[in-house]
Amino acid sequence: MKEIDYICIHLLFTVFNKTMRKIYLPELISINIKNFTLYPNGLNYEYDFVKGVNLIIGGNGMGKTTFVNIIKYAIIGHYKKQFDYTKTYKDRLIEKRILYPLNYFKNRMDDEFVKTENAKVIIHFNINQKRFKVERDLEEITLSSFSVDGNIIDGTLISQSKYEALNENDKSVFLQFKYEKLIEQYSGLLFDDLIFFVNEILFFGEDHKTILWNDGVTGSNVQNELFNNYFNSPELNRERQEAQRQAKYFDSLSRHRSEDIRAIRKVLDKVSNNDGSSDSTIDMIKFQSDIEDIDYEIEKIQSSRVSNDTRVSLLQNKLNELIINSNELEIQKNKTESELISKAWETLHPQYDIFAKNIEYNHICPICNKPNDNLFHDLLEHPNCCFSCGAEIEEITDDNLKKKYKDISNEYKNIHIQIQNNQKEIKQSDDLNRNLDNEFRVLDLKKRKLQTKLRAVEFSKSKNNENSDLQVFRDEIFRLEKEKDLNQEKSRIELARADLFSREIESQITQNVSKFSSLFSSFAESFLGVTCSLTFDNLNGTSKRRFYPVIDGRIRFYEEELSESQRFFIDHSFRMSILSFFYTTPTFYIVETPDSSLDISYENNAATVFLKFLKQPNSLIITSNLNNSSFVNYIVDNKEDICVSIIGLLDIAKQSVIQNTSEILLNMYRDIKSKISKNNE
Amino acid sequence: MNYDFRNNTDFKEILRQQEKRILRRTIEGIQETSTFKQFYLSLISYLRKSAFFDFKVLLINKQDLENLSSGNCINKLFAILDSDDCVHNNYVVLNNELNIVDKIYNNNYQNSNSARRIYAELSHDFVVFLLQPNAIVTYFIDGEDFGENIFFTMEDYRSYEEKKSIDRICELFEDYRQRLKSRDVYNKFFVSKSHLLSLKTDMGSQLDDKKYIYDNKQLLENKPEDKFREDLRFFLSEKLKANFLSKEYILENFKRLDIFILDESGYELYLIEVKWVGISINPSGKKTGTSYSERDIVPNAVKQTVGYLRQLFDEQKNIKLGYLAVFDARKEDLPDTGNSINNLCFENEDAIHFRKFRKIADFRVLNEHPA
Amino acid sequence: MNNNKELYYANEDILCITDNVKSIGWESIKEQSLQRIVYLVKVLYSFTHLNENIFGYYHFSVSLYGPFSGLIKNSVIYLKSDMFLLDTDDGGVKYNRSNSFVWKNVEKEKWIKTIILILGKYGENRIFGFTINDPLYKEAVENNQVRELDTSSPENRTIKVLNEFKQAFEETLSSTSFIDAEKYLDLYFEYIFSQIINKNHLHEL
Repeated sequence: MKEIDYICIHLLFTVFNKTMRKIYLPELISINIKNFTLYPNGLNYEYDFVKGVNLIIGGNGMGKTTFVNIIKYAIIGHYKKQFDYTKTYKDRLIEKRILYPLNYFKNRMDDEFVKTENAKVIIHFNINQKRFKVERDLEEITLSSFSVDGNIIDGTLISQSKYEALNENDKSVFLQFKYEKLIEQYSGLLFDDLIFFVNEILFFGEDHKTILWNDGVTGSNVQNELFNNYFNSPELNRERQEAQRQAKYFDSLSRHRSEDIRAIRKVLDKVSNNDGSSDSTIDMIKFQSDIEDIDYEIEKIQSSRVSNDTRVSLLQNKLNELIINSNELEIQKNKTESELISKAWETLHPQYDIFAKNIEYNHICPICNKPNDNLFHDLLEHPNCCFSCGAEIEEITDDNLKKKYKDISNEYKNIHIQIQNNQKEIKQSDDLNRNLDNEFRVLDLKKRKLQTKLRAVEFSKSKNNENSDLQVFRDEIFRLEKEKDLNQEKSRIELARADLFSREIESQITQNVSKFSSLFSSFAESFLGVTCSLTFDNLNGTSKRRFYPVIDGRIRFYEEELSESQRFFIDHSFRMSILSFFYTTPTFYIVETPDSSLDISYENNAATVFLKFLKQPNSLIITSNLNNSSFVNYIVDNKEDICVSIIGLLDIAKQSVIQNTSEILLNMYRDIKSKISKNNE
Repeated sequence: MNYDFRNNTDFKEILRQQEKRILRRTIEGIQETSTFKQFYLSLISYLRKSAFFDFKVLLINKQDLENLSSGNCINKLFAILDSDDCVHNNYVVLNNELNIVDKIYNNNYQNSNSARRIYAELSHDFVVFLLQPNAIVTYFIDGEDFGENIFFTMEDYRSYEEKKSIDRICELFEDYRQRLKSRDVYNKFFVSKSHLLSLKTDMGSQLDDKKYIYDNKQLLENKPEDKFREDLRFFLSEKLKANFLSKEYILENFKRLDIFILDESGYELYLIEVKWVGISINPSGKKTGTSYSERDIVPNAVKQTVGYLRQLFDEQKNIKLGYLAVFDARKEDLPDTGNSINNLCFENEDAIHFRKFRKIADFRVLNEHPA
Repeated sequence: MNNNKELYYANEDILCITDNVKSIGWESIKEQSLQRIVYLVKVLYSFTHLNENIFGYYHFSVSLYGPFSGLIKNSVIYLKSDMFLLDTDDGGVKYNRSNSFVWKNVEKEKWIKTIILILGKYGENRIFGFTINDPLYKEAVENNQVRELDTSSPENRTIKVLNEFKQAFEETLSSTSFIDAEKYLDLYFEYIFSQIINKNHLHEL
């Protein structure tokens, strides 16, 4: 990437990004679902959203997920994913928005019931105080009409799938285009970014996709997208996304070429095997293929090295922490020791304490300065005995004091054992690094030898001017290699461009890390009951930083390091802390069956987390099949004065479905309903 | 602190203006030798340690300075500076053994421009060290005056030294109490008049507008503790020679300490817990929210602060004092919230820590002009 | 334990520091100041040296009182145990002249001396301010870093800031050939100190 590009981006950045962007997410007001026969007893169902908890209650199959999807559809349309690179087809870049299956809603309808017109949804929501009223057809996926602050907007109607197929230049007459533009104007977000927010951030579905650990290896790098939205202007963000798409495109082109090269090599292998004779072309190709394999091995070693380095780095930090803690314990221990009665002449040598410390921390005999682990263990096991002769130092008569001293000595001993173990682990990791380095050297040498052989063959070939039958293959591979390298290079450049944007905002994020972390802690700690915080670091060898959760003093790289419900609530806490931090106007947050994997001890905590989030006015939408009624009851019985309202699918679902529902569930439902209406009086 | 030197035009401007001085600072000369530096720094150490409020001139010629026999050099220097000869005279000439070779008492010693001219004259033959109050040592070599720093002036330094060190924090609390009387400051904490009017509608009050506003003028904005804390912290950080931890210091039970201060040297800790009494508005803005009264301060807040002191002590942090600051935004004029503290009883364990507890007299916040 | 090699290196460094501060008139020095000085010695090393950081055996973490390395603590214990260091009344340590030691590593001694001669101007009590305003340290605090401070890398944040500092001079002044790296360090610390005393901004740690 040229120097000038770096300068330009940096300048653009300093001009545009003096402050954080204000983003206005949709504030839900009310929804009206008509003629949707999945809810035959609610063919004109109206619901006003509350700032508080909106409970969607229904048994399995009653349409909770469908209801949630109707809400999302009403706001953004039938989009599953924002505009992005999807694939490369015959060398053509295909980028588009991805739609859900078009018959999704239709298929859920019950054709037993007669209806007068198509099923549709009308939703009212605010974006930065501007009232949007949007009507969409549920059977033919189309935006039917919309108004802003009462003014109906004109535009040609078109089905969503046809709209997606249009050229950019042809879109401007259509109603959908106008809708997108007005949303962009008032929300401060590009419409695609709104699709991103609604699908990825404001929604936690039953597939339980977390965003805190999502680093872009599978799926998009959500943290990166999220913060770029908040800290970058829409223009710069668009540029960055464009660069990312181009990078993926060139990368896939390069991989296609690799595939082709591999295919040809396979053929040549077969030929050479059948032939039995050696041909310099085949040799060359074999060398090249071997070199590529070695490169692959080297890459693996390098990435192991990086993750090992991170491990060592964390261990060193932990070691320092342990030593600091031991220092504190040591002072407590000394205090206790000095409370013991000391006799006039039989006192310790004035240097005894420091000698003991030398043994404990350095495992060295203080008299002869030679390493001595036995002294170390003895001293820890018998803290009240002279390390030199073993005699008991103090006669402790007070039982309480004795116990206190014993407890402290044990703690002290434990921490030293921990220190010892930590040091062993560090040593093991250092050894591992040494081994990896050796392996690297071996492979590197192998590679060099092969490269020499390859050059020798190339040289002799050019001298002898051999005319091989396989020349055409060789030429083809050569051509493909060139294309592959070219595309890889282009991809690298585009990726560097995109990364530059992300790195520019890093300093802005850094300034706010402690605020994010403290918000995160206040949510996460209510659930987990242990210290939680966020660290913003680059731990996987790239230069890009992202947030990692630190739970109970340990950093959790992978979501598998936590149990299911811990994982979800940490993710909720992360999302909520971001939404709280950037709060402008109320918005919504949808969680599907949050209580599904909770055990009894965490139910109350889970309710607390959500209620905390609602201290700032927002609409929380939770679905529940009352599997875990105590969780729901904690919410309903909340003492924080938070409003709870119910979307009772049990009332509007098909009669036969309701009849098949268990009595227990129905009773629970009725109880909750009556509690809520009592509270609202 | 701004580390972006690339785009810092102010910084570059300073460099341009100080070009000459930078040049002088960085050319080679005797002042770059380590013997010189050690001598110079020793003089500064001496001044720091002694109650020096004098002007004194030390003269030593270049060769002698370069040939200073190290070893017991420093002890000797301190002894010489403490000696009667040195104390009674304000011009002292030293040799390479640091013995006094000549001494003069001249009544006209000054730090004025004329005096400095004299020193500059002298510096053709000797290296001239001028010892000044506040541990400042300037020197003259070959007619050149090496006094000013490039990025800060002596004035800046002196006013920094005048900033209160942490042991004088009580004076600052007094100043802060006065500051709360200024409109720009107290305005931030209370609900605005327009908001009060819309609240009147939400609460369905029948009073007339003026009366309603008057009755509810002490209504605080939502989460007033954050605003109070930030304001107090901002004020103190400007006036106190200390370091404020913004990274939250989290105690075992996740409690976050409000204001946590390390003194300048970074060895001693102080904490300030911030509380308020009065009524604040609900986050929705449509009704009243939380309220705290004297009962929340004594015993709860006091016990909480003493608890923190104990915890920090247990963790072996060198915690010196814990202050409890209470912002009093109550409608009525009531006695100080700390009045009944003396009736509190602490158990043995906490009693020790209670000794480090200090209740600052309430910070009364009134939503009205003192006139 | 196999760490003895590193312990002995650290012993050398600590004694070197305590000896050097003696020669600028400090009668004692606190253990925390030792931590802070070694931190600065290590983090600034790559600004003037092209080779690998010779202080790589120190590993620093963020702590309440500034940068902390367990190795330094262990070294002070050893030195006190063998009476190379003596306790002083004000809670510090001082070099025990009667139990003297010969420096073997000239390069290390030179660099340590350089740093001490720069810091000496400001006094022991101001060193804390320099460490908490060190760019690398500050960044680690702001980001809630849970791994050790990246002081070994020649591209660490502090070095980057120093290079930009130097660049600003090169871009502004007519000639900078007479300013060597040590003088840049001297000017840099003066600049940092000026920022500390001219606190027009909220002083955050």
